[in-house]
Amino acid sequence: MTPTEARAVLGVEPDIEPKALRRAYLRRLKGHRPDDDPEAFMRLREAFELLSGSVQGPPGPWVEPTPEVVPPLERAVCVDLDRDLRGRLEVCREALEVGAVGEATEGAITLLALSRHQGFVEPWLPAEVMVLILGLHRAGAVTDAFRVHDALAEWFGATGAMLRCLLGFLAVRWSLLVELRALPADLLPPLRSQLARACLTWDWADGWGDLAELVLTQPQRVLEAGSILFSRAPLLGDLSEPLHTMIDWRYGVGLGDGSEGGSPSEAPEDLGPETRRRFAWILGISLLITLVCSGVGRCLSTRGYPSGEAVLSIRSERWTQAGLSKSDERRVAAEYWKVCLQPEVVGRHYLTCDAAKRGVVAALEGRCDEAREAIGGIDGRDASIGGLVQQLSLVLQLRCPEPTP
Amino acid sequence: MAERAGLIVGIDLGTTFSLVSVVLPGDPKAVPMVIDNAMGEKLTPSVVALGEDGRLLVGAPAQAMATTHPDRVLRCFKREMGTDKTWTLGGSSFTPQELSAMVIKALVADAEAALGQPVTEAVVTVPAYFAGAQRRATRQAAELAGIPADRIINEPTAAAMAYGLHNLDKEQRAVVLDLGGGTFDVTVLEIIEGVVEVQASAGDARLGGEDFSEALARLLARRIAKEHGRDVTAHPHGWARLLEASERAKRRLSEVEETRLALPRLPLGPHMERDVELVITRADAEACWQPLLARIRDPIWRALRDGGITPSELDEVLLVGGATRMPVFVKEVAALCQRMPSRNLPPDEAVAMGAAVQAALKRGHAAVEDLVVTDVAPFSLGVAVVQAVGRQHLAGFFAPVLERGTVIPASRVKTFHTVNDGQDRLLIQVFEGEHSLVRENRELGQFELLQLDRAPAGQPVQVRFTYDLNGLLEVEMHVPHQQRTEILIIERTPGQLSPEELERARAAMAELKFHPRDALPNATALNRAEALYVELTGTPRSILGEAMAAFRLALEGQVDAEIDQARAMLLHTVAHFS
Repeated sequence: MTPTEARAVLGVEPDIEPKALRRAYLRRLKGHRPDDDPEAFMRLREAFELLSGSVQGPPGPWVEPTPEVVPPLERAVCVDLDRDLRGRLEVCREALEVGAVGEATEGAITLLALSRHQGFVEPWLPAEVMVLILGLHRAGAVTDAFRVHDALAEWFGATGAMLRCLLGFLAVRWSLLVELRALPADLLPPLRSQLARACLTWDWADGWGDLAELVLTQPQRVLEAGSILFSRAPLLGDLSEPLHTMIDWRYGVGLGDGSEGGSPSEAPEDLGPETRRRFAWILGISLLITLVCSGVGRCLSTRGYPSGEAVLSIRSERWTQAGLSKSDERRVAAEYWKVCLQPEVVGRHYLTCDAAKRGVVAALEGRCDEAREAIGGIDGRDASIGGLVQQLSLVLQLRCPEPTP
Repeated sequence: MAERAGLIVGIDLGTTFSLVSVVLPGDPKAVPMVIDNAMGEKLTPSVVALGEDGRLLVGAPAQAMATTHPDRVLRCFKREMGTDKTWTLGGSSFTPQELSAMVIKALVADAEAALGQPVTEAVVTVPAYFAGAQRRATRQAAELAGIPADRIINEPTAAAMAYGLHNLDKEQRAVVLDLGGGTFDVTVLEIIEGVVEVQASAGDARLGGEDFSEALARLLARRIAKEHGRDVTAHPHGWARLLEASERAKRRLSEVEETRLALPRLPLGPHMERDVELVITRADAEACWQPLLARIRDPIWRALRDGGITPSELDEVLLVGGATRMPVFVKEVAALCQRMPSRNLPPDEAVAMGAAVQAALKRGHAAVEDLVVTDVAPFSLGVAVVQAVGRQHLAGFFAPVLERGTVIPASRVKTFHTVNDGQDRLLIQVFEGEHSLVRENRELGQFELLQLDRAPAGQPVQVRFTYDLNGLLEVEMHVPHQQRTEILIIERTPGQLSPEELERARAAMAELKFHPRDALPNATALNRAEALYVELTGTPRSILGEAMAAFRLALEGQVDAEIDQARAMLLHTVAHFS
């Protein structure tokens, strides 16, 4: 069915308002009752779904992506959107790894274009694309990196307003965590862990004290790290203000702005003012969206849903004290994050998250019966919490092994 | 459309109670009428029992035997619909379909007696959360009873129809919460442009009033164990009486803050009876119900989320189902939905009334012509796929084809690809559920697509799911290169009968000896008296004994007027002492 045919079925004009379209559809139902005439009803419904899709977003879902923009890279096993996009991303990453910069660039641009066609996008997408952009920069393909960047900027602008709201709430944290992941593995470990801590607790003022000593004892490494941070992770760089203050105070130089000559010459891969301008632009959008959406977040948290802080309280030192290995802890936290920290799902998984929290705390404090009851009571049928349930049972196994008969 | 001949009734086939309702042909206002049974009651217990005389009893007389002969009474069989569980009664074994068929038969007999014309068809309701197998089992039960039920509708949708029929002019968004004897359903709907549009449904197929009674009975059993050192749950007679007393206490606690249960000579073990007296407060009961109340939240959130609506946007919260009378449930719902729920419909009868409206629609009744109702698929339906992770293939993932919340009837196509070079066959396994892994979902059926062309991996096969109004599925597979289409109709699942088996079962049903309908009030009165006799002592007991003897004498005399008089006396005595 084409949009024109659909409009004929519903008897509406091309520029009809979404609400009027819905009413037109509902009025037509009288003559095409689902009980009496299922075929006609299904046709009516199809027309309505098609047109209501087109009223909401730019290109409607009936426009199949033209074959030439789909790179023949992947072997899709099923057409599941999320998996399809992830598969493409995987291909882009592989291409980048083997140095096929052009292929990775085209792949990433196609990925963004495809996700726009689909009308719904997972929050991981922009974050992962940012990692790709950083990778391109590192591979020296600056022009390509900018192309992907432009596509991403356009993508931010083009995806619907509601989508952006959903996304924006998480976008800043996502971007920060992604930046953190993209930093070199040997970047001054205390600094790395401080950044991670700040990302997770959302407290950017506290905890920098331990670094002061390092600034005094290993100035060269701190300077280097600060520079890498600023050039590769502009969002983190801006937020790690205390570090820069410390360095300023000790050396009297600003690492901040490379163009004004304050940057040490050994700063290896400063991306220049142009890049920073672009990153700042994205940061601006994200922050704006966060502001808009934090209203939503606040009203959710006052209704007794787990707030970010409540969630993080389980992720506190107690976990490590209780002897969960670092990776276990991270896995549970990651799953918990996915299920319980997204504003659009907290209501739905309220019980699950609550039980998970109680269960983990009880398991760590050795109250095994309570833990088993809490974790056992979680209804694991919902697809989206499968990972969490798995990780919780792992915690239970580790901390509360069943007594062997 | 002209009205068709013959009566179509609406049947609410409940876990604890069932009802039958009809919109009389030609009724200009199309008011659904709930029909009284032989006992003059609207609610017929969904209970089957084997009477003293070896004949089967359905409804109130069977219910009255629950405490005296717990081993010969079958109830709550709706919960096992679609499974292959069977019960044995008097030497024969019965499936849940057969037991439900007996209830349907009794209801239809009541309707025919009240309306004086034969019933040709029925619309039967099921919980929205009933899966395909359970729906097919329900339909089969109606077939076994000899009444075709082409149309199965969701209980909350039925309630919405009963509500919507007379509120079509007021555009609004509402949520219907249906807590029946055994199931909990949530339905979000919008009434707009004269259409009742169901936008989402969710629920818990194993949460109902019965669970609240049982929780209370377990609390009482713990108290009895503390006091008398015996576990009453281990003793069938004692447990049945405690359950029945808890059910009554639950109802009373909806009215009062505190109630006293007297269970004289409660059997606690072999040759051990104790007079038990318990006082239970509403606060105690509500504390023991907390885990059950917690389970109502998730479905409500999920339905609201699926329907894209927040509690503050709701115009109406409608309560349906007997168990919604509990104040603690109302309190919980009020807190969740941020408004007081309303009870514009008789809670026990709304679903049956809606089924009657649907029956009237089916017959083309003029007064309901304007009513249009659309419903949604309660589950996601899809197939098992192999997923590529790097260069590895992992099996067992669920790829939904028709998402839950899709407006039905609906048809959806998805294209799948072969994963191996030279792959010449494809196993299409159909599942319903929401989990990402198929092993956590329910399998509906499978089809092996053979003789594909040997070709490199990535050959497409289109799979089309067509889901009809009754919630039944047809799967079509199309191989584009070969211009070939195969059809898989999901018909047989565990516990289901083939057409021959169905015919045989129907014949066997006809062989069964039921208590004659005219004599049901007599059997009920006697069974109720027997149940009370066990509990009484002293003078009341001997008075009741005399009334029972008088009634038995009248029965032997076979003079109708005398029987009626003696029965009235007996029932009066029973009412006086209970």
